[in-house]
Amino acid sequence: MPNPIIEITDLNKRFGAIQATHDLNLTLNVGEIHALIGPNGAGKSTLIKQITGYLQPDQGEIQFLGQTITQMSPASRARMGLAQTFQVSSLIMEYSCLDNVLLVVQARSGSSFSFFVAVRDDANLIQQAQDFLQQVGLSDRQHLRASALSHGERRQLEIAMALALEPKAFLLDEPMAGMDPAGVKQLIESLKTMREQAPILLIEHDMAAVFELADRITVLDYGRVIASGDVESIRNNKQVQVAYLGVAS
Amino acid sequence: MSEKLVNRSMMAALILLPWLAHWLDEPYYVSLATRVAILALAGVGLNLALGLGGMISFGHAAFFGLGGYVTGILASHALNYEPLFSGFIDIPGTTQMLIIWPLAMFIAAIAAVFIGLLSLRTSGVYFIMITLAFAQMIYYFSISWPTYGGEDGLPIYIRNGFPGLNTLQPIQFFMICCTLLLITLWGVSRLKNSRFGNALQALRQNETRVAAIGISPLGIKLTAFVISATITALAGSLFADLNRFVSPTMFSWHTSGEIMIFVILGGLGRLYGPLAGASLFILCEALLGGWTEYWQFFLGLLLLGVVLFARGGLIGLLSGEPKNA
Amino acid sequence: MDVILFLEQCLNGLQLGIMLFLMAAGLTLIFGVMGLINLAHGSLYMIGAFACAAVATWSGSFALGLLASLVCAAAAGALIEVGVMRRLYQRDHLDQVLATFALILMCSEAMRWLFGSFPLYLDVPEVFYGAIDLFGVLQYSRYRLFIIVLGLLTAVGIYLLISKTRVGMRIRAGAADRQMTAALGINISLLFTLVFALGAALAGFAGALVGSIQSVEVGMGEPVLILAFVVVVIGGIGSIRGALIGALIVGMVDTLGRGYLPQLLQLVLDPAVANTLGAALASIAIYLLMILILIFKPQGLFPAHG
Repeated sequence: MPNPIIEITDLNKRFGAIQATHDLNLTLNVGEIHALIGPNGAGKSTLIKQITGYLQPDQGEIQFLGQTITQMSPASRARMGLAQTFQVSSLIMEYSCLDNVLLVVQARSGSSFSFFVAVRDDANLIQQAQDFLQQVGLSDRQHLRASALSHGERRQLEIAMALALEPKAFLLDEPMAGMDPAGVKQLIESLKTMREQAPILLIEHDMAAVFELADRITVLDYGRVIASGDVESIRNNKQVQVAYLGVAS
Repeated sequence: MSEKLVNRSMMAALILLPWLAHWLDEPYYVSLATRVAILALAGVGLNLALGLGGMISFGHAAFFGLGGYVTGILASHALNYEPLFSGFIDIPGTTQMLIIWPLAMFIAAIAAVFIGLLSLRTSGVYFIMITLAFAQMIYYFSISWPTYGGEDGLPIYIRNGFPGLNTLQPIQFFMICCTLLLITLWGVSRLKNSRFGNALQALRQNETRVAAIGISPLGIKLTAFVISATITALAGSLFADLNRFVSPTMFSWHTSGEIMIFVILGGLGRLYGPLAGASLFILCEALLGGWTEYWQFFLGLLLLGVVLFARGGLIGLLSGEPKNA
Repeated sequence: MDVILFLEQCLNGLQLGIMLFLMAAGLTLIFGVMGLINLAHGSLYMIGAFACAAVATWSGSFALGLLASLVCAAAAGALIEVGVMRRLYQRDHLDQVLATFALILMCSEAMRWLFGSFPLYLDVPEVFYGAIDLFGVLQYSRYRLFIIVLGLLTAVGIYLLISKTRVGMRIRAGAADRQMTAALGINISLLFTLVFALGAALAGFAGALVGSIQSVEVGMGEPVLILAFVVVVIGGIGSIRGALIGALIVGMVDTLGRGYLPQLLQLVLDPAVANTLGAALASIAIYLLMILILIFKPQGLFPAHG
């Protein structure tokens, strides 16, 4: 497996007068949880969208598994093994939990251009989908529509869908947003098992969770990296404390 | 009544009533039922794009008309003993349905690939307007191109033939149309539950999410659009044979609107919705049309009522399941 | 090439373009502000033409007829907005398409019931009979010139209304950001009715003006509506400037195409073939233009949103 898994070089993205991504360099290495933090408007979501392919950078390059993916469509990147969860839950709302995960298993395990065989008759696919639901603790909800789930359950379903892709890297965009403390605790445990499958690029506002999980932290502000390092060095970085943690210097 | 029971009753009525009419020697009602079957088939085609895929095509008349014109043109060449092309070899026209249908579907498929590639780059209102504009383009072309009758249309003097059947006899032609409708319904029901149908219906609800798990939206949507177009073109071919006449009206945007009405009146995305919708439409035309010259006013009123207050359509009302699963 | 004929064709193209702008302006405003696709816009065009024909015949005054077209179309528009459209703003485009298609059926049948199936003919005042001498080079129909001038004045009027007045500012704000406009405490439902009635009045006015050149009949609005759609697609949905430029382009291409494509093709083809092919191609020229623009600019020439 190539190392780093994701490598971003000199990335730039501008919206009119705003430089949302500014000469940005970033790597995601094998086995790590790399947290990306920064105040609102620091350019985190813009960065994620460029990695997943929903936005084209103005300049710079993104490599995934040693291959340049800057020009690829979001779907091609996902097929290569880039899994993401969305900041605001993005599910197939009229599908049941099981069907949401089943769709991912289907996408990963072959072509979607099969027109006659009923996909829900495929016991193997169903079994796999159920396994992923079980991993996130949603087994008893499998026949409920996604639209009927609570906020926390929707976030869990997002994780199950990311897992079902059996990816080479996870991009998690604020997975803990809006969850109650019990949910956060459970999710932290989930992330600890997920890191054994693939490295995680984690955007998160919950600093306690970040400090507990991350191997490395990168701090963004105004589209630039203002600091990067291990948990201790970020905790003690004066610039970070001023820009982000709101501590007066 | 469950939706399944409603569907089965409708199908039974469609198959049995024409035989009753045939037995009572009322060919008019047989041809009415044939129209229902054909228009329902056109609706089944649109329903695939619209109901399952969420693609609001306001240009399906293009495919309906192409199916009709392929049929008319082939038949007129065959009946006039003029080759379609002359060159090294002469390619003659034909009056064989079994050759006409695949050709009609093939031509429509080519048109659908072209229209789909251009219009699927956009979404929402743009998609509606662009599909409408494409159909309108073909409409005006058919009017101003005199070779095949232009504005006056093109007659088909003798209904095209089918091996072993006498297609001139109404009940036999009805059975052909009805069988094709049944086969298509079966095929679409398979497709709906297949991997392809699964991806297509997910795309309708959340395109970003489907792309994020590695399924390219464009390929799925374009394929569905093309299949949808070929089904509607087959209906167009049968419609031409039913009337023994094709005209630019088949391409007009009223035709697109009417095909859409079949889908909506019956219940969007429901397998048998177009059959219910087409039956209701023909029933309105026959009953209201006999009562007032301005029956389309009431059709409009009915449509408005369904859109504003009964989203599940006729099947939704009958089965008591207003929301489509 | 005959220069005088060419100039005349250009003026005809300008006239068509301006009429299309009056249609497209309403369509694009209604979409921009309310997010609504309105197929029944062609019916408002038809209602304007019928109102003008009826009132002009009854009173003998063409000016009164024009006024009636504005008033009746605006009233019909306001009625439709309050009665039907309000329930559709939160619905998806499919519902809007279907409901407005239903309205077309109802309007057309109602007009047929009121006025019969035969076309009405609208007489223009004597002042506009015959041709006028333009700069000593060109004889041009007085009435068409009148339409061009009146249409241009209306276009300027819309521009001033939208860019210089308070109401216009609110409309622009509504088109830019609906939620924000509501949050600012602007009476949204009144604004929507107003925009819809304004768009309707413009369509009705166009119908009345064109009704004197062509006949006034049921279904007259639909070909124009579809041309206006093409204008909006080319110009970019929600953009008034796009509607103006798109309308002029479509008007010119359509008129000049019909005038000159057969002749142009004769340069390379057998005359008989060139004539039929030229006529057929001219009838779809604007659609071919639309396809070309879509390939390079899928959001139109002046994308208003995003």
